[in-house]
Amino acid sequence: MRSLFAFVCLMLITASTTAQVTPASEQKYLEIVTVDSKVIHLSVADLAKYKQVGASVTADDGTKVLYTGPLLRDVLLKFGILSSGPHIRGQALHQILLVSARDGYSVPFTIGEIDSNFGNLKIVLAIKMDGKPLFNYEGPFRIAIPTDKEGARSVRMVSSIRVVRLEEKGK
Amino acid sequence: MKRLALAIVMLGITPAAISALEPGGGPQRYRWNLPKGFPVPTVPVDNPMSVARAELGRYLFYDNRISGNGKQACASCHQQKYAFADNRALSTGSTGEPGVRKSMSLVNIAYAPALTWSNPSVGTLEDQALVPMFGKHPLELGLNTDNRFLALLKADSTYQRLFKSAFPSDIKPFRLENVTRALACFERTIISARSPYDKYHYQHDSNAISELAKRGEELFFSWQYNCFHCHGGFNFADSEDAARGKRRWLQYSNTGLYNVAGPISYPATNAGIYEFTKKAQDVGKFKAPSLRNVELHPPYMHDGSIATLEGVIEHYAAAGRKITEGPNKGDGSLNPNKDPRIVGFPLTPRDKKALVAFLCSLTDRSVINDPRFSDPWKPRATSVPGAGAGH
Repeated sequence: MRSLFAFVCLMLITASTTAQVTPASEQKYLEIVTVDSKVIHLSVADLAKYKQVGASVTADDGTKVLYTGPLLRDVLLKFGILSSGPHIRGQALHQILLVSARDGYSVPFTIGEIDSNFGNLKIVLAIKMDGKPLFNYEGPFRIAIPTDKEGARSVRMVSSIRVVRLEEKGK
Repeated sequence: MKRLALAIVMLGITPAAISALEPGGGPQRYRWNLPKGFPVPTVPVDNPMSVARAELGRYLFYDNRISGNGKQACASCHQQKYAFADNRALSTGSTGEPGVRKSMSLVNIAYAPALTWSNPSVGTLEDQALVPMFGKHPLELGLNTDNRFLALLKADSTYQRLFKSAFPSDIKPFRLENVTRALACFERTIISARSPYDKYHYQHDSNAISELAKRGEELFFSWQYNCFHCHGGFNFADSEDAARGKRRWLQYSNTGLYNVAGPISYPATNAGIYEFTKKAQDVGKFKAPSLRNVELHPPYMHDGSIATLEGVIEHYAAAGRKITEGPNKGDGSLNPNKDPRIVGFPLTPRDKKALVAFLCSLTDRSVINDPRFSDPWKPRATSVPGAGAGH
């Protein structure tokens, strides 16, 4: 288990030290990389076609804001990253989603957290705030998790979501 | 705090006396008229806001008679044109004695749970007012504890009207407690909420700030630059206390400004909250003030030792300041108490300009031109805080 942790930490550190803050104007797509390295590009218009879900959260300035966009789970189902069939188990639960931002910030989520048969965590892949496009410093894509008490997992400026299978080497 | 406690004892103000102060304000209740994003500030229960009380506070704030030699007022170091701060590196007291720290801006001070650079023990503006009035080290307004200045105020027909209006049920309104209550009331009215950034952020006017400022906002709020962790929330400060509750928690930070050789790594006269806690890990820790209107009151940092906003950004990009000669020689980036979040960042000339443009978008020129906050002893003042339209 320690080797898994070290692997995730290494990925986060690598991302943080090498990334530059790319301007929002240069980001047209959200990139999803599947576990077998297939790359999917999604625009704001693409995500607007999904069922839109709201997430009411308290912003850092204390105001209540409503983020809207598809559930991350729905997007993952669409591309087969999650399955709507029988419960995932075993090695499938070793997959994590590494959500990364333009500024190098990254947060991992496990497949089990998101799957409706396990954690069923409501993660909104927001494309609007109070009905308007996101500000540059948080968009064009961001994560909104209404059940989180702290905002650290609600990644702003999301640029990519990479599916990674953790190889447990400590057996 | 010891000095403040001494002043309180010498002046005969006891906690019991403070709690016995009359509730209620003048006849006209104060209206905040705050725009979106700005909460109602926390106000002490024994000093509710009123139009009359804030107006009395304004007169007192600009009155030189609240100094031992009649040469200074609160407004001497908290000037409206500098967003109620100063343009000097260090304040100077009424006798010319230099202070040790830069005058802090009073704009939006109503939201600040800590009121000075490095004294964590003064929690209300009412108590804080006593420090410049009676403090001796450094000497600021230099009042004597005999309270002779109250007699001067009492003899003034303007104050006879104002005190009576501000404290209508007090048969002896010319008291020190009422002076500090009125001053605090006025200071709480000085709210800045109408900057171009506010128009952009809260009213979604995308033309209110430049594209360069928007780029600066991205950098400011990025994980790599990390400015927002200490200067966050609606007030771009390290902490916030409002009627809706505390949203940000008070923190004092060592920013790697100095690393002087010896047991105290900061200049001895300015060692941060260490001066109060005497804990070695608190050396060099100071409050992160609000960045609203920061453009208007250079120089910067607690001792005014960085002249420009560009210089401040370069300081953080370098993760600390290196001083190569003189008594403060040392590499601040290696200060053992430095906040671990200050790790530096790559900085291009354009990024620096963008950050400065963003910081300047926080400038609210209405605050420095608002007659409701101006010197009432000058003829141009025509309105009173909280009574008219506006904030």
